[in-house]
Amino acid sequence: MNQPSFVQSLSGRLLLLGVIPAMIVIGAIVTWNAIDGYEASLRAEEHLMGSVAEGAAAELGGRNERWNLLAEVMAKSQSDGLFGRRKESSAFAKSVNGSTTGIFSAYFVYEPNADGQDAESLKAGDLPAGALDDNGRFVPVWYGSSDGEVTDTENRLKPSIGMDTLDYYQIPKQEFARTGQQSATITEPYLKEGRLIVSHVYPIVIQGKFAGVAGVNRSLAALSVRARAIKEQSGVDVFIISEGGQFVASTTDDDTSAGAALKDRQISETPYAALGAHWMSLKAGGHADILEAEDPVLKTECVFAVQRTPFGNWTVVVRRTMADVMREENKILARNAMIGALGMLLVGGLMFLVSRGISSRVRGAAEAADRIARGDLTHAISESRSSDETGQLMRSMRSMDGNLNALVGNVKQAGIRLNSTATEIAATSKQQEASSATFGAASNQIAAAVKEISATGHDLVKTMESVNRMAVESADLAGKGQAGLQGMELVMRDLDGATASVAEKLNVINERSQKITTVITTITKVADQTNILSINAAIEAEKAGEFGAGFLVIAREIRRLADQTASATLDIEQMVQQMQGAVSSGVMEMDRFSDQVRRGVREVASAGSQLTEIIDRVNRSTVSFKQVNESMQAQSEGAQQISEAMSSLVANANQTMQSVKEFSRAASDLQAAIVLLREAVAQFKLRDS
Amino acid sequence: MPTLAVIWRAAGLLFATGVESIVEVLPPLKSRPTPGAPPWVRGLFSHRDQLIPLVDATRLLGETPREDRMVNRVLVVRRSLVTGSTDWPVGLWVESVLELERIDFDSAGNHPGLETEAGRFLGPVAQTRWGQVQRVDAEEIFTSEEAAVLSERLAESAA
Repeated sequence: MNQPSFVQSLSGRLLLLGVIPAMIVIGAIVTWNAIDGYEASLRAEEHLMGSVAEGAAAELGGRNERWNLLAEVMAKSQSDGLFGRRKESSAFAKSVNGSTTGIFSAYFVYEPNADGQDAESLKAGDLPAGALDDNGRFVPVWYGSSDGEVTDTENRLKPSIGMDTLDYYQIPKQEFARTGQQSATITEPYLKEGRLIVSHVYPIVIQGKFAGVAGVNRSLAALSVRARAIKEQSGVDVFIISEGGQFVASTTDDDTSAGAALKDRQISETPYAALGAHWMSLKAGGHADILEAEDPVLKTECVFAVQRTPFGNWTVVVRRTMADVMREENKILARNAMIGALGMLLVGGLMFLVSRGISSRVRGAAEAADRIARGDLTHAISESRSSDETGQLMRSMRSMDGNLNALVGNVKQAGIRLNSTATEIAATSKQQEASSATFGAASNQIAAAVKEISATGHDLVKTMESVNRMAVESADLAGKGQAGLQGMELVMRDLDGATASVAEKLNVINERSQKITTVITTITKVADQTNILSINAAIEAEKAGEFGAGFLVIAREIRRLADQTASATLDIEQMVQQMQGAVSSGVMEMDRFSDQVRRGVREVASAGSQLTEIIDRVNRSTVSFKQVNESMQAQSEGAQQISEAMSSLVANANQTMQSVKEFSRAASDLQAAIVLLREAVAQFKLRDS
Repeated sequence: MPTLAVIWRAAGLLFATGVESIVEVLPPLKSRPTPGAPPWVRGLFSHRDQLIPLVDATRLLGETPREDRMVNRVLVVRRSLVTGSTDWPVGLWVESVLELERIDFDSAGNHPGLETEAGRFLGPVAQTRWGQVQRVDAEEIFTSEEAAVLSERLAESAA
């Protein structure tokens, strides 16, 4: 059976038609949401940045307005009666400078001899030094108070300079000459004594004529501080650009790694030249403008919010990198993508597992069906635990296979049995055929034999009669032998009794001799002790010296007697031992003899009884012989009748042989049929059971 | 000068010991074995209400003794084991006692014996009607080490 390719397989189809479309749909939803979220997030961020820019611009404009107003108040004080009163004017400027936080200097600058007091003042010398220039022109500049960057409490005076060239004087003068209207002027920022400052000035007009300016100077250091605060609050970089295109403050300057500082530089000289031109060209007022452009310094896509200040016409730009803007959104996007991917994997895995299970069961069923179709029933179909339709299919297949197996097995076995039976029948019928053939022949032979028996019967009767005579003679002889044996038995019994009494006496002798041995042992011990005694006596006698001399001789004699006793007892002991040996062997001989006698008695007795039996039998057989004779006669007659019966039996046997031949043919036909059946069944291979 | 001596047999050889150092001759007797003692000590036995050691002469001579017989004898030998104390005899197990005989070991023709450490108790050898007999000096039977085995405890108890 061919294995389907993965695409054609059940699990492949499920995967292609189920999982992949689902993946596409989910992927599309995730992407859609991501794009939407991205756009919305970008707009929200941009809006936020716009608000920051607007707020900063409003604040900056407010400050400009405030200092413009101060300059205007000072100028108006001149036209309202302070003009020409040089002492009071100087004192007023001093007071403004000393009492106002946030400005660097406050001043009045008159046109040359505007009040007609130049020469007089120079001559009088009643004004503080520094209020006049060399020609007596009134140009007092009070400076040195706290302006937020430098704290200089001493309020000092110096004459103003550069009236013919510098913006702070020339711009209001020319403006007034051009328009005939008084208006506040904010100069471009400029460096003075190391500090970036701007001047807020207002023209003094007396009787319709330009008579000079009043103004304050302030440091822009506070702006940098404010820009940093905004950056800390909102996470945006802040650039402030003056009306003339000069960077007033830049939070990027705090990070020295970002290249050269921008502050004090003309925008056209920085990398922001092109971008800056665009910023400056945007309309004033309304909401902040939002730009998305590549930052020339960071070299990355950034969002810029641009707003013009209402006073001073300065430009506030806030900047944030696109990556920064989209950080949160990217996080969400990544999380969504991850959840989506996990869901995909889970669905795909589950589908794969389910489809694989179903697929394997269906394949198993297909393979099993294929095998059965080929007639191969050798493999058992495994038990399925699945409860779905495929499981039911497998169970049905299994039970079908089992039933088929059993059925074909039974048919096979029946075929085999039938075959052997048929073979047996064929063989038996052949045998029977042969048997009936031989039966015919045998019947003839029997008939002949029966005749012979009849004749032999007559001869046998004669023989029996002569045997009978001989038997009677033997019985007589045996009777005589029996009488002799009985006498012999009596003699044997006497002999047995005598032997027993001899053995008994020998035993008594044996016991006695053992007692003698005990006595001899005692005598030996006494002799031994006597010997020791005599030695000790001799020792003592020697120790007694002369008194013991006689005793020594006696001791020696005693010892000699003891030694003789010992040797005599030794002789007796030896004799007794010899006697004991002789008695023992005598007893053994007697025992053996006694045994032989007993055996003889038994044998004689059995010979006697056998003779008795012989005589008995001979007497009985005489009677039997008569009976045998009569039977023989009857047998002879019976044989004649059997001979006749055999003839009719032969005729029957021939008939039987014919029918057996027919039966044999039928059995052969049956055998051929069974061979056909077996060939058919053999196509099925069965399990071993 | 001839002295009366007991002629005895051990390790197949004949020896003679003067009667002056023999307390008495005893038939073979049972002794109580003393575990751990040297192999030549057969054990202890009671002699006249006194427990004394029984020494096998054959083993003492460095031979293996034959099995015990009725003709074996025990010579109770007097020797002062502890100097300056009462006599403490020792039983000497011999194969047999032959005879009492007066023997002159000093007469010409006899051998004075060999001077060896192992045979220090063996004296001169004399020719008798029994054969060659060697004198055994009861006082010299044991080496100092052997005597120590037998009498160290006695010396301690006497002290």
